[in-house]
Amino acid sequence: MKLTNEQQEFIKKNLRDNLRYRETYEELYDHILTAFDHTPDGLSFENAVNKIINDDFGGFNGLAMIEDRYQRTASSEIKRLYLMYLTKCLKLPLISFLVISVAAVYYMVCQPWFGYSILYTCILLINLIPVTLFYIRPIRTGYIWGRIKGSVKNRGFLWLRYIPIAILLGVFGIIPWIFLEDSNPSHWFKNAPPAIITVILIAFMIHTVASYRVYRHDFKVSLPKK
Amino acid sequence: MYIISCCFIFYLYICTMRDNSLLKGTLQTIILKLLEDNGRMYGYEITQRVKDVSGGGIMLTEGALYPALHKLQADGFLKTTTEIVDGRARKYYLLTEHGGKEVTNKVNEAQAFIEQMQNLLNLKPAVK
Repeated sequence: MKLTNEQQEFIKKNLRDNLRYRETYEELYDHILTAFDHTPDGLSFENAVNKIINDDFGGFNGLAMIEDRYQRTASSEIKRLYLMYLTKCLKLPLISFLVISVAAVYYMVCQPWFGYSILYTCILLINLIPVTLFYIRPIRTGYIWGRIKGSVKNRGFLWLRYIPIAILLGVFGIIPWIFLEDSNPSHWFKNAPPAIITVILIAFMIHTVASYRVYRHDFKVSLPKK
Repeated sequence: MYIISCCFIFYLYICTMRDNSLLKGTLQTIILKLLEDNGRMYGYEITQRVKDVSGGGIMLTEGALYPALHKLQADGFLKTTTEIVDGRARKYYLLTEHGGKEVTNKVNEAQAFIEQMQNLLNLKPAVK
């Protein structure tokens, strides 16, 4: 069954309205159009669309289920990669850089000029990399607002972006509030031993390195070489 | 290899007695085996091949195929290539090196399972 341009546009619009991710949109659009190529001419367009969507996907609810499961698979894959790269930072050869970084950060923290504002600036600068990558990623993957759907992996990358925020809240908000009488982060920081501050900064650095490597892995796998 | 693949899918069809819920555990094996025999395939092609080989008895419906493909891809058993066909992007799935090794394991596991099921279903009362 050969489709007219209007019929193809109708399918595109319906899929755009019912699907959330670009990957599933492209894959299912190709599936439906290929199914039309194998559909006998006698069937009306509306009946054929409904038949394909019901038979192959279990209706529009089936499409949503495919997307949910794909999104979960993609997110757990990103988490798995993140943990893998995080672990690699604690193994040779990267651990040697880590040891040097720990020594350098500890030395810096012990200096009299190191204060709360410098710590905050360091954390913000370290975090700038994953946050920038998060916003650059959609541009690199060809996302156009309103025209092209977002990637199914976006949610997984959002999780990566939120980790430092969770650490920040934990370190500077919840932990002092629960465990210390004085919950002011600034006062808590002044009394904290340099080793603790070093651990915090190194944790942010490892997170940034692991996040960067996940992004690099994603592009290496997803984008074809020109 | 194609004949073995056909026999395997047909055997599963007989065993499952047209009940697709029993297919869930073997879907990944079917996909891996089909890709081993055919090199690279796209989603619709896989559903049609399974339908043809099983004489229409096994239908990969309710979106069972794509989640399985995505899971196999995330597990590193499959990789994809995209080509423009008739003005639209078509995603082909093919086995990775790791996936190629996994096919043998999966098929052996499935065969052992089928044999065990046969033994269980053909149980006769013990003669004293």
